[in-house]
Amino acid sequence: MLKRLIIIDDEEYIRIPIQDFFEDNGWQVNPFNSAEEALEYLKTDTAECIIVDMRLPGMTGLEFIDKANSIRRGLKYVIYTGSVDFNITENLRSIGITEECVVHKPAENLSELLNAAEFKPGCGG
Amino acid sequence: MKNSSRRILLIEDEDITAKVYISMLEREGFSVVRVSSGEDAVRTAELDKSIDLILADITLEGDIDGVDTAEVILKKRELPVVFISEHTGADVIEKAEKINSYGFVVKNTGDALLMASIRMAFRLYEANMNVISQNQEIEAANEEMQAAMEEMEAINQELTDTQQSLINSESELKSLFNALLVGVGMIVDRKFLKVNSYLCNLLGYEESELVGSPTRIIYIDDEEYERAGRELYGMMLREGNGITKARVRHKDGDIVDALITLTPVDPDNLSAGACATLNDITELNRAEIALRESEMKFKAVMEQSTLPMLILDMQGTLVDANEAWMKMWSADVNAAIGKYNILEDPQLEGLKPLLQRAFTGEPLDFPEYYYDRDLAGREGGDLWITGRAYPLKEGSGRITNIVIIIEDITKRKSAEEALRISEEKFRNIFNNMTVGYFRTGIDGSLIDINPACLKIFGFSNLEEARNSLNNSTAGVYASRTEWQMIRERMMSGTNSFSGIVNLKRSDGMEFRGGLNMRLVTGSDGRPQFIEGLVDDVTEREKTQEMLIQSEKMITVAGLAAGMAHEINNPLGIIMQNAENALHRMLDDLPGNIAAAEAAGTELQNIKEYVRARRVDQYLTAVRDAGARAAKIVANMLKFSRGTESKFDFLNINSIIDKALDLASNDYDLRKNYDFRNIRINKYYGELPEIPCAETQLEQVFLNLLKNSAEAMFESGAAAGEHVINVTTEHRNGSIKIEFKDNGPGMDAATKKRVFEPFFTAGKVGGGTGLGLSVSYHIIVTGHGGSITVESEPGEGTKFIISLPVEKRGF
Repeated sequence: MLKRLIIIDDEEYIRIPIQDFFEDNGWQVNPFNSAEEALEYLKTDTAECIIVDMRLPGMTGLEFIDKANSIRRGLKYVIYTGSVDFNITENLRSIGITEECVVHKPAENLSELLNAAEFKPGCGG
Repeated sequence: MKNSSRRILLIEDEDITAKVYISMLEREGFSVVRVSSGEDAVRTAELDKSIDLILADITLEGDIDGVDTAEVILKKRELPVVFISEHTGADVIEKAEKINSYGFVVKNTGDALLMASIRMAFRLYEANMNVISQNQEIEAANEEMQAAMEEMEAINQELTDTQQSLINSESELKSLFNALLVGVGMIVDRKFLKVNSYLCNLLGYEESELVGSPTRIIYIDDEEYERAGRELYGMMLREGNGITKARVRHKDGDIVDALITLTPVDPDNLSAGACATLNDITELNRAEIALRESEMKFKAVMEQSTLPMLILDMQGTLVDANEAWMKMWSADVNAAIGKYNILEDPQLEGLKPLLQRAFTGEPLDFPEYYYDRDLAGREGGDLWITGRAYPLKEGSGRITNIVIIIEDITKRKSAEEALRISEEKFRNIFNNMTVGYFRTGIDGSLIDINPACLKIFGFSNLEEARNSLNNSTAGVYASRTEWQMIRERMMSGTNSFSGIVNLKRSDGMEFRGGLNMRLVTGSDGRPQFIEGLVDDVTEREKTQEMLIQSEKMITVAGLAAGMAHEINNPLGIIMQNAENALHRMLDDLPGNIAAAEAAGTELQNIKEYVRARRVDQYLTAVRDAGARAAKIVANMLKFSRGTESKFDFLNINSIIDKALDLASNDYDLRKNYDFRNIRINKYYGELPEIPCAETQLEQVFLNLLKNSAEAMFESGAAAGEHVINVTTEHRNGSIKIEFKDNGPGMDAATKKRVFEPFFTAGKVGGGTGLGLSVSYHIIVTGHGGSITVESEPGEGTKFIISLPVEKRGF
């Protein structure tokens, strides 16, 4: 069975190459334009990994993780952010998010994201 | 012989003379009947049978003189006669001898002679009577007569002797009368009876003109005549004699101020006339007026003088003082007079020896002296005085008073004090100001310079500076042209100069001098000297440049923080899409193969096409450019967050070691050099642990090492010759770190901009151009230290970092 990826980014051409790259590497990808849509999806479905941007229109990435975690525990997150000021909050750490789960935008190459998504320990689970 | 029973008939027309004779005779015991004319004498002699002797003045007013009178009387009765005359001419004596006279006396010969004559006359008369009445006794009488004759002869002899002296005495008296330096006149019924020559001279008249004239003629007018008369006679009646001042007239019209006295000849008989004296007091009056005026002037001067003045008696007690003294003293002069004694003033104790000398009559000046009015119970507080004491003398030369003139110099003193303080202040500023101050003559000769100025130019004193500069300030300018330009500006136009010029120290070293000069002119507008301020602004200029750089960097930092996030998203799009495009054209992905087949070709053909048309290279370039832009943004963000890092107490040497470690492992960062081919010499000093942000300093050191390595490899010098010396030392509360390479060095323009953001010395594309500006920011802003560069083309480059041991504002 294919591994499922949820990608949440409001930039279409951020989403598309990631989706294509992951699909080329054998993942099934569900892209979302907003955190709200992704949350709706998570109510009925799940994924092996969620790549989430922090700055989003409407609900932020942080709120999304908080809410998603309350719907479905043990999800694995990769935080893909353009802000270098980003710090892992205590709350994020409490659900298992470590430095390995954070990729700074732009990633030097897409395999960085893939590595982070396939990184086994932590990140929930 | 008893005279009391004897009665004498005195025939004398002059009252004064008569009075004299009467008193003389009465004193001798005679009783006297006085008549003033021959007619009266004849009548009296007839009526008064008790008359024993006739004393007759030969010269009489009226029809008959004394001799004639005696003749008439003697015809009727026998009486002894004694004649008095003021004339002793032979004719008179002869006439007197014709009658049976018994004596002849010259007037004013004195009572002794007169009495002797009278007594003689009695005796002769009695003897004669005896001869006549007692014939038998004629012999005796003759003898007596003889004796009397002898006595008479002796008397006559005596008379002759004294006559001469009498004549002399009278002329003496007369000359005395005339010689008196006061005008004298005998006055009867306000007419001159007799005047002395002084009076004549005084009023310019001949004696004959005055005698017999009314006294009116000497007065200036009727009014004055009446007034003087009233006063003189009125006073004489009341008090015995009168005195008044009157204005009389000289014959030629000049007015004379006169003091006139009047004394009656006979107080009991004022009709007998009076003796008047007249003194010319014109000069006296004038002198008196002058004296009075002079006194008034003195008083006015003293009162109006702004200098306090005191008049003291010889014991030091205040006799008088002026308004100015009163003011200075805040005292009532009248209350102080007679009470204040200058020698007993405790506050003047210090002046006592001088004051005592002054009271011996020595004129002297007092030195400046302090007087505390508060202490003396006066108002006004501090008082500084100086003054002069001098004696007041009478005409005789006796010192009567001491005058002291005081000058209140309190204001001057306080002004002097203020000036002294101000000068001291100026001197203090002059000596202690850190800016150089100088004064030069118009010719450029050195007049004065302050210690700071000496220090700036490296001189130890003014003399040395003068000698060294050959007495011309032209020598302190690095450029003669510049000096000439400044000099021209000073001497014409603005007469001032303000700017930064290149100056020269005594050791020849040049520096940037901030110069501020002006030409000082005198009140006549002519140039006097040049004064100015000079400061070594070399450091300040550097600091200013750094400040400008630092500001630029802060601006960039602020900008970066805002921009970074927005740029990262598009960069992500560029990079990821380019990357994926490559993946989808070149990778043997099942999707790629399937899509190629569906398009009626093979993936291999597509790969070949892409490579043949260099589409792969375009996309790789796009991805790499995106990566580089992302790195710039990342560095900018680090730069903006630099100061927020955590500080720990660490040893700088170990941080450098870590940086060296990183550099040697970081070979893949740049492909065109190998850091391990550089020889690193470590000269580490013993360092204390200092507060610092480890990763930041690591970044700085790594940056410097990489810059050096890059520069050295780019210069094309053979590997193995590259050396970096790393030196650390702890000195004066700070840690000094030097990185010195033997690379190509840099020119002044590069050196100047080396810390500027986006400035890069390397090949375009070799670096971000932010490394050194970030380093600068970390060292200066983050750690309160400094970073400078020393470099010359071909001489290598040395970066010097200084970090404080105590972090400021930690």
